[in-house]
Amino acid sequence: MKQEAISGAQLFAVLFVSRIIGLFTFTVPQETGFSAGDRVLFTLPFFLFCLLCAVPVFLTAKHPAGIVGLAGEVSPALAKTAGTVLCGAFLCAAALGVLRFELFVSTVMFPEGDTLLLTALLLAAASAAAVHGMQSLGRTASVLLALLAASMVFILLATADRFDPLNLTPPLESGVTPVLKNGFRSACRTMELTALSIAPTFTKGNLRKTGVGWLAVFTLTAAAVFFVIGGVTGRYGEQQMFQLYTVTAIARFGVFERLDAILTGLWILGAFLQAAFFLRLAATAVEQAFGKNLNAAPVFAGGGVVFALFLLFSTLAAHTEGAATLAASETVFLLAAVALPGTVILAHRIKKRSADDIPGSAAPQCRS
Amino acid sequence: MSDATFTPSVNQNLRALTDLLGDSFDLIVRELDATGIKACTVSFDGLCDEMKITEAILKPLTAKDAPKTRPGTLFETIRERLFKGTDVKTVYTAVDAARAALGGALVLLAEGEAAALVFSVQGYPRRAVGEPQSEQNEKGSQEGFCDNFKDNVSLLRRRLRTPALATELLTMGETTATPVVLCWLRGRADEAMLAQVRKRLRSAKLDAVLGAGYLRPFLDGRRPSLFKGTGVTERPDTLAAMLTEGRVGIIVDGTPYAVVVPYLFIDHFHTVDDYLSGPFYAFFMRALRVACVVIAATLPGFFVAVCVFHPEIIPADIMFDIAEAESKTPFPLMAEALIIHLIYEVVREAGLRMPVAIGHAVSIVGALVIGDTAVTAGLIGAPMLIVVALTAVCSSVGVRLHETVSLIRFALILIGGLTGLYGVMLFSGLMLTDLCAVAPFGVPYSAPVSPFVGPAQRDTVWRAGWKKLGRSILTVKEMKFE
Amino acid sequence: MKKLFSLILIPTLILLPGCGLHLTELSDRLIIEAIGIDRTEGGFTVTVQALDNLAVGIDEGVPESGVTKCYTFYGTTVGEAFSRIGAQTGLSPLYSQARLLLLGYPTAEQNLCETLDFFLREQNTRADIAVAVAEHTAEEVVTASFGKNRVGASVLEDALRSGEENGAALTVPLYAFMNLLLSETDAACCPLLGVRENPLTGDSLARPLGCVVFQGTKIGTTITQSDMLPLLFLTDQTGNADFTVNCGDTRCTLRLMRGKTKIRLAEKNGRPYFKIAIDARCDITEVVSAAFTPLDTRQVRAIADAASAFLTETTASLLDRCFYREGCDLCRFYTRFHLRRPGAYRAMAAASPLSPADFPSEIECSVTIRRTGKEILRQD
Repeated sequence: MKQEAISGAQLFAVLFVSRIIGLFTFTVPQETGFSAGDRVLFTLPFFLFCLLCAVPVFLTAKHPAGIVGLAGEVSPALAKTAGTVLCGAFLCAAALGVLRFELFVSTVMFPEGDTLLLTALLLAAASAAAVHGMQSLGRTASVLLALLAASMVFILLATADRFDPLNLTPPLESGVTPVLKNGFRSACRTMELTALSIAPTFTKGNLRKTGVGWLAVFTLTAAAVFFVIGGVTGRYGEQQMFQLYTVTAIARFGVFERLDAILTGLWILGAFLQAAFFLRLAATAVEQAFGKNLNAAPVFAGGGVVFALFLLFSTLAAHTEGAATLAASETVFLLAAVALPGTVILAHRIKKRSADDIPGSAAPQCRS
Repeated sequence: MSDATFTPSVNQNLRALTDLLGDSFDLIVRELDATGIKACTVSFDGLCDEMKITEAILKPLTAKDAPKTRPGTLFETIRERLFKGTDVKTVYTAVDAARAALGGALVLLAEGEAAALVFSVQGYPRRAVGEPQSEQNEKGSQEGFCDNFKDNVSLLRRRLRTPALATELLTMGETTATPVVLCWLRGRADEAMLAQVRKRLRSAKLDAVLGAGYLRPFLDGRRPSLFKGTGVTERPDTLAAMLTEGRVGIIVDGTPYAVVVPYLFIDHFHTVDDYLSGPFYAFFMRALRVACVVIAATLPGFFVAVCVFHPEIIPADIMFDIAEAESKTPFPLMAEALIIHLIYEVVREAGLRMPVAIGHAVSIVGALVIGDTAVTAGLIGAPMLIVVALTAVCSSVGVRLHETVSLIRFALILIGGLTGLYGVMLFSGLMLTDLCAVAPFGVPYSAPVSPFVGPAQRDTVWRAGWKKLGRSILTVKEMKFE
Repeated sequence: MKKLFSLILIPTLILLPGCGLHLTELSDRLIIEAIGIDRTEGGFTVTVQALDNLAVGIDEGVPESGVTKCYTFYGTTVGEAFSRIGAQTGLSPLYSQARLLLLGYPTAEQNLCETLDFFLREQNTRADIAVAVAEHTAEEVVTASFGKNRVGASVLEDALRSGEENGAALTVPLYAFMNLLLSETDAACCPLLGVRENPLTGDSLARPLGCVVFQGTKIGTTITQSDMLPLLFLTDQTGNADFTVNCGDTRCTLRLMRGKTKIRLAEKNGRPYFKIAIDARCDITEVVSAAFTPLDTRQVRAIADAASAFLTETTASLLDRCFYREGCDLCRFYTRFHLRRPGAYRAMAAASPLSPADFPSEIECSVTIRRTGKEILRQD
């Protein structure tokens, strides 16, 4: 389907909303040596890792048709491969995002019920939204960003009087390794970075500025959120599965209290947008690779694939964020954000150089 | 209809015309001697102003001192000497002459003329200009559109006394041949959008066009959605204001509503009174309208979802009352909500359709049935009644969105009762995305909120003062995406 | 055809039994207002005060049994006891409206980890529910009747909240309580609640009786009502309070309007040393002397000095008892030092186990009198 361009601000909104849901519903893997103080600090290596991994992505985004266009200049087969790999990566990212969110919903909202139906509903709604196109998602994200920002300001105001600096812990108590490790793991959950490689086809404006700006704002937001969580809940919060949810449960502002369900509702909107965004990206990758406009049916089929992947990942994951899904997250990210753009860039450079070396194909050079 | 052109024989022309028009009792054919030439007039009884026909047309034509003409020159004489300045047109086919007669004109056929003259002498009964029924206001004009398209155009011209106001007459409907007038302001409306409007109207194959609503689906575009990119207004001042913003108006004969394209979501919350009051009050009222629409759409579903799935949100004191009320009713909360809202829709529909004379009886029955008896009999709880009352009142504020809001409300009650806030939020997200996907004629429906158009924020929910509003003109053309 | 198929399929999927979510109407829920936990032989007794759905409400008359009902459940663990609610009452428990969690005194004297672990893990319980320790058993307090129109939990909660006005009690939310309990060094404190009989009506009255300070996860010491004000100063939770000081021949009652405690880490002879600065803004509400005496500025200063001395002495006495003798770190000295000087803390801890003697402190109290009543100050 025909896709109109979104602005840089709308892309920022979509990327931010999509990634922030992962932050809101993060759960602490049961590992030692990572305290509240470290959690604020690890946002720095997270930012640096993301920037590092963004380099090949930004290089591919220079091309007006993105990574698929760049691959197409090498060979049609590479373009198709790139598109297919990206499609698969985005579908996996959607499945992992849905899995994490389903864990949150099944723990907090519906602990007694079976949430398979809810997951199916989420994916059906996300597929229907993805069909509308990136313009629609961009505008929706702009509205959601305003709502989420307001909710975060509310949480800050409502918990300001419960903040106790003594609840924080000194950073780097267990050394630098856990901080770096968690920074890297969080970076591997930032599949939105890969979206920048195909964003030139549907975004106006300076992508690099948008991408770096998004990463910076998200990092600052994450640091602020972890700081608030640590200062408000302290050790109690570290025992909880969903720490930010715990903070919202105790937030109180005048007569407004127990608004965790409403804030959770906003997060559901974000999760819906995240799934729709990744489905749309998958469809865009395929459209670019195969030069066909997709109608609604393949997008819904993509939703079905995401559901199947979700079922697969959930059986692999043991309890919370099991090692299997963590490994899947890292593999998919490194493949889609680093290996694939790196390969395409390298292939493009080689092709360009060999084209320059072929006699007659380059401009005549002066010989001494 | 036959495309046959007229011949110089008046008898042949008359026969062609009467064959087309058939043998209706109200078809009047007058044979006369017009300045010495055999002629005849064709008109419909009841559609023409008989006084005007007699005084302004027949008398001058048949007067003794009328200038004598030769066959073939009568029409020229009429145009240049007898009826100079009168609304006289020449048609050359029986079809056009028939259409004109059906439109209330007088058709004159004459010997030696391979054409017919059409005199605009409409005199059919028409409703006078009255107050708009659906868009009441406090400080603005009390004139609303009526059923006649010419009167409506004149109401518009009185408010836009500029040569830039352009009107174009189309005829739509195979059987009804309804006059439809496109109006826009030259230099403000986007030419590409105007061409699109024309194209969509012309491609609309309809047998009958009896109201503005017949044309809206063709203007909305191919994508089905709960949100429409077209709107209607009963007020000439509102239409005039929208034309100054570069929109296109469509006036349909026989309906007191004009269609406006593109119509944005934020327009549903604007009224004339907003521009006639101070900016702070206008802002307050607009914000109230937005809140009312949101409440009307979401409150019942939200209430059901919270009571069934998320009672922790409910403050303790209110929970006592809800728990006690619900413990006495036989139906689950979702069923209660559906029943009571259905009853409300029935009462509302009855209020619209029934004769005024028995209106009071229905009001009393509605109030008693829904209000007192249902609660006393223990069929529904008082909290649910409060919810439906608040919803009903809020619905009345957002009347323009009533169709959409009603459907969303029922869907949310079902979804809230089955899946709680999770489903409510998912559905809301879907509706939000659907709203953002609508883009009538390239202008995003959710503009200028999303995508954010900075200069346009002066007149969204916030309304800047007139000193600022008057400084520059903002048209919908500037909100189009590339 | 496709649309018809969707129209049939989607509602069928949604309405299929087993696709499902647990729908529970409000009338099928046991709305719990207060929870009491007592450790008994071989397990726990959980006493729950819940709303009687049919008795509360706007129109109906309240039955003799009152607007609440109490239930008792027994289990080898707290969770097991709670799991019996559904079987015994036929209703689904709703924990989110619970206002108060009461622990029996004998229960609090034993390891609280076993008692409170359920509340740490159960997602449906409120993290900010108020926690208190009962004077004797939690069951006694939870089942007390405060009037048939009154919800007992609300009365108890109000008694704790009144501490903001009278300095006789404090409200401790569960998450803050557990935060301190989970710390290896900090001491948690919790209000002590009892019930007395109202001789006029026969109903019960809720009485805050002071505070319980924990050492680790067990009760370390009990603080009576007279020591509540110093405790509030040490933990920087002062609201309004009244206290009386002797100043020469007069007894003066002051009303504390605003109190602030700042604890600063300093160094003395290379060792950490805490300065506790208490700033109190008070009004003089009553002067008891032989005759009505207008106060002059000299007398007001004397009263302020007497109040400062009183607060300094009582606070120092409480700190000495709780921290230096019982080892209950009310002021969180260990945590403060750990946060400000993590390296030095680690070095000291590595050298030898830390003790209260490693953290000497000094208290300075400054009392400012704002208002002295309606009379005009007599000028010297």
